[in-house]
Amino acid sequence: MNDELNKRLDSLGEGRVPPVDGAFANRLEADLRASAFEPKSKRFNLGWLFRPGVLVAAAVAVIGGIFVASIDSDPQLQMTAAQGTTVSIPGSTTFQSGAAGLALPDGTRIDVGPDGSAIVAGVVLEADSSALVVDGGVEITNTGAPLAPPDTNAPQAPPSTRANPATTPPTRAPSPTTSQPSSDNTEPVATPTTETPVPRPTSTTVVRDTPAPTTSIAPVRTTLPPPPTTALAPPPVTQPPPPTIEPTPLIISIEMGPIRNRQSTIRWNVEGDTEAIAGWTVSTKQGDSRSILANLRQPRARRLRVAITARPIQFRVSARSADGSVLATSDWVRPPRRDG
Amino acid sequence: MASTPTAATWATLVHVSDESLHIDERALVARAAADFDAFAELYRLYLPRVHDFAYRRTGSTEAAEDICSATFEAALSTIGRFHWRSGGFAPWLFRIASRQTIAYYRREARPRSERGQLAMAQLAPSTAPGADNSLGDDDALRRALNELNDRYQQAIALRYLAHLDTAEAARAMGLTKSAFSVVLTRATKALRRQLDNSEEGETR
Repeated sequence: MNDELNKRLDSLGEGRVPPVDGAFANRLEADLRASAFEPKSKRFNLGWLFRPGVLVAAAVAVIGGIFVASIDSDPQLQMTAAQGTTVSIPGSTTFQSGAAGLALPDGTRIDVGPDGSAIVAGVVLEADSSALVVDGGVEITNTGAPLAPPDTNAPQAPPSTRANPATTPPTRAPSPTTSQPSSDNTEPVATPTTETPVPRPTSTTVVRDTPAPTTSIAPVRTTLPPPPTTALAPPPVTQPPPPTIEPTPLIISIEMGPIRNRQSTIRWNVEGDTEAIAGWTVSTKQGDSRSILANLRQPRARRLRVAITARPIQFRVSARSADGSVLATSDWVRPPRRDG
Repeated sequence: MASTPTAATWATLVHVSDESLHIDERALVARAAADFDAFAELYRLYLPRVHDFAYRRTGSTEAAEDICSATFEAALSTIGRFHWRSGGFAPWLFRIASRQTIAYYRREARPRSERGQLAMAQLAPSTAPGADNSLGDDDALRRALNELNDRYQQAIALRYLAHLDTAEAARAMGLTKSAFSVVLTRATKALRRQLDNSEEGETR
């Protein structure tokens, strides 16, 4: 039956066809040529704007734009994962259990229980840790991890030098809200989520808190001025320079542990005068993009567990003072190549 | 630019094989978006094939010419977006021709009511105005073909009336060869059923 139909179809396809009318062919070619050489403006037709596909695409673009705009205007953190975690959202009188996808507005407090853990914005909150959401970022108030012992061996600068601002003028940038650092040794404080890329010296272990005693020392004169004819005042006496105070520079060493379950631990150590350290900022770098991963309010914290969500990514740690200025910064460190 | 062909020249261009054109065709297509002379050469190469296809599909010289015009106008305006694929230019052009054929029938059917169309179908053996009645029972086949959905119409027309091979026809419909074969098989069965229904209706 189908063979018969195929034969009929073949017959239809191979049947006699009158040749193309030459006049028609020439006329159509002339029309096409005229159409091809028409000015574009004449051929411009707005009818395509009203085709269903175009309308749907426009609607999708508008809705998508609104959606993206709403994301941009409300950079709310979400909890990536949580277990044994209590979350206190501002404005709510009750605590709730942490769960993946839970929105974390500014002011939210996250407390991880003794057997719990949570991941927020790439930071792994370990057992017994707690954190706050500040300006859409994570501010860790307690890492839950063992802390470094109190710094008893660090050399202390003589109190007199610290008490005398005239002899040791501060070189830190005092304002944490400065968007354009006034020098290479300052960075904006951790509240913005994206750092402004700053050209850095090739050696990234930077000592930041070295005061330059340049203002209080009088120049030594090599020749005395001619004595006044009537004055009985004693000639000027060359004073010895005050003792040079060399605050111990801060040096931060950093390393990353092996990756397990897409997580790794950043460990760092600091040498020098740790007294001024009020907290830490952990930053990430992917290509040219830098951002602040988390702020830690514990001066004696020496480790942070992080989720490795993308490669290549690098981390570094900056020590910050109470006023938010950067005291020292570690080298960039990247996770080991092989997963552990 | 080459001189405009005469009617005799057009007649000799009928059924030029793809193989003999393939090497130059790609270069022509590449130039055609910016150079009308290149497009004109493609037009002269393919007009007879598209005309044959449209005539076999409609059984009408008038309809075939309408479809040819619409096909080459659409090709001219969109050739800048054409990307050469393994199937080449022919499947792309016949895809346009096939769609223009379906659009032609829709345009023709639109002014008529359903009852009017039925009456016209009873009165006129062909669904296309100006159809050549000498083609015999091909008209019944065409009428049955017109009752199929667009996809089935396209599959049968590309394979049997445009003489594209399976790979080319599949490319023209944006399908794999195996998927096209499935569609063609279903289309043929549907056409068979449609013919049977029509014959039963006529005998009552």
